[in-house]
Amino acid sequence: MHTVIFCAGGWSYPRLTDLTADGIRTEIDLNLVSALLVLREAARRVTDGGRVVLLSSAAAVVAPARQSVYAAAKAGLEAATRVAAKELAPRGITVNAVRPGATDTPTLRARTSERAIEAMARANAMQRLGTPDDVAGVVAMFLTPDAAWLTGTVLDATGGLL
Amino acid sequence: MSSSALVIGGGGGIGAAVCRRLSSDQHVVLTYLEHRERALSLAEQLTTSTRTAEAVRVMPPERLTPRAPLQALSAWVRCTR
Repeated sequence: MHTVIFCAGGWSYPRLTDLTADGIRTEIDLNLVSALLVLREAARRVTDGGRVVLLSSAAAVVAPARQSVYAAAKAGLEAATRVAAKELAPRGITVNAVRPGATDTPTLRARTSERAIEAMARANAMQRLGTPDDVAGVVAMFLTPDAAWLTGTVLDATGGLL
Repeated sequence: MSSSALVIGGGGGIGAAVCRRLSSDQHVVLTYLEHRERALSLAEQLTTSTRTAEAVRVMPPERLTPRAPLQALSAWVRCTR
């Protein structure tokens, strides 16, 4: 095993006043506990010189309303990415994260109002939603030989969320 | 094809795009939770005479429990090549 990409994740839009312990645990499990366990297994199984890339989210830094748990989970994922990079560097394994902004996926369309999606598209410099291929290209960049010196980085893939 | 790539969440929109991107030079194992049909279809599309891919279901489709992420790791046993 040379390459591990962590793309699992999901979110909901609870108000702070509506948070429940079970709801928090569910979203933390999906976005952070899974990522930490994948990092553990990567540390055990990825061959020397391998690559690990995790999908974070712009939510980790832009603090969108009604995404407190998701934002916290992704911020934790980014911290874990940096720790893992330090631990695995002696074996030549790089660990990086990609931080997409709003990306035009079926899940986004299913969970988000059209009005909110339009606002998301206007929020970045490119004035459009990202596409899955936009993000996949950035992930793939971390797997190239030219990226061998990059580890512990979190790279924005947001179309310029400035 | 010299190595394998494990894509956790390969059935989702971004995950599927990552799988397509990687499949040209790595054997791809993609895991899925909610997007069964999409994941199986993708693995089939990515498998040709010169490249291979497989989809692995990692946990039941009901809501996650605190222990559920542990089940995701079962996919690793499929990635030992």
